[in-house]
Amino acid sequence: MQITRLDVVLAADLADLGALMATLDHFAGVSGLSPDVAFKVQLCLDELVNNVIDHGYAPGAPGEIRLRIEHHGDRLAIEISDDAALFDPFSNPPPDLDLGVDDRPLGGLGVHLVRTLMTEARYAVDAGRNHVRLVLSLEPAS
Amino acid sequence: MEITESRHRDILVIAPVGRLDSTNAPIFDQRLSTTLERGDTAIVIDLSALDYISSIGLSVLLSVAKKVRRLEGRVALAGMNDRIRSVVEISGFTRIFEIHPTVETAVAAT
Repeated sequence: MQITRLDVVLAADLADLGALMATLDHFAGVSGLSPDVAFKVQLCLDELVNNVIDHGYAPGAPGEIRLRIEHHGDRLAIEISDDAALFDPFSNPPPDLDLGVDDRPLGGLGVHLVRTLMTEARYAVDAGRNHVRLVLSLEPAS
Repeated sequence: MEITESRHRDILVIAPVGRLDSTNAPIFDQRLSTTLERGDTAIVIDLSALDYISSIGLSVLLSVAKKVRRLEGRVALAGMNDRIRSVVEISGFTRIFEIHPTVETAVAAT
């Protein structure tokens, strides 16, 4: 089985996200991922990395976010680790989607998208760092 | 980011092009605010040229829906591709927005 792997180390700076998205596009092409899968991966990493940078680090504080994506045939395994304040992004309750427009809060959708779009989404602390592990099962055509 | 506008009778059709992400969503938010401030409260947001939307872009859509409701106006989403539509559905926005397959059907529905 052919395994394709991408490792990226990011500074905790939103200005670096554009380059990350371009890198993910390139990886999707090399790895033969479908446009639907590439979209899901971009969206979930965008959401989680944005959250860490926005909420995990003090403004302007340095940080190091590591990403690893492995494509193993019928599944993608994604790991994001960072040295921000320890926080489980999946600890917040899911948004109430039945609320009317006046009552719906702005925000809170990013993690809901990750949980819904990925097959598995887990959080752990390892060696003092936050680790989020995602799995996306792929259709045979992917 | 590129944002195009056109007018169909008294309805403003506004179309973000490309990506509504953390870089571009604030620009689109500002444009929508300007649109409402000048009195355009019947709006179709044409998403047919949109390739990508993240939760920040979704928040901009929800924000304009809240403002339009206060102004007793109307906002509809039109022309979403399947990927954008899936994200909009997961977010529960089908309960909040009028959704049309094309701008033409959105304009004709008034």
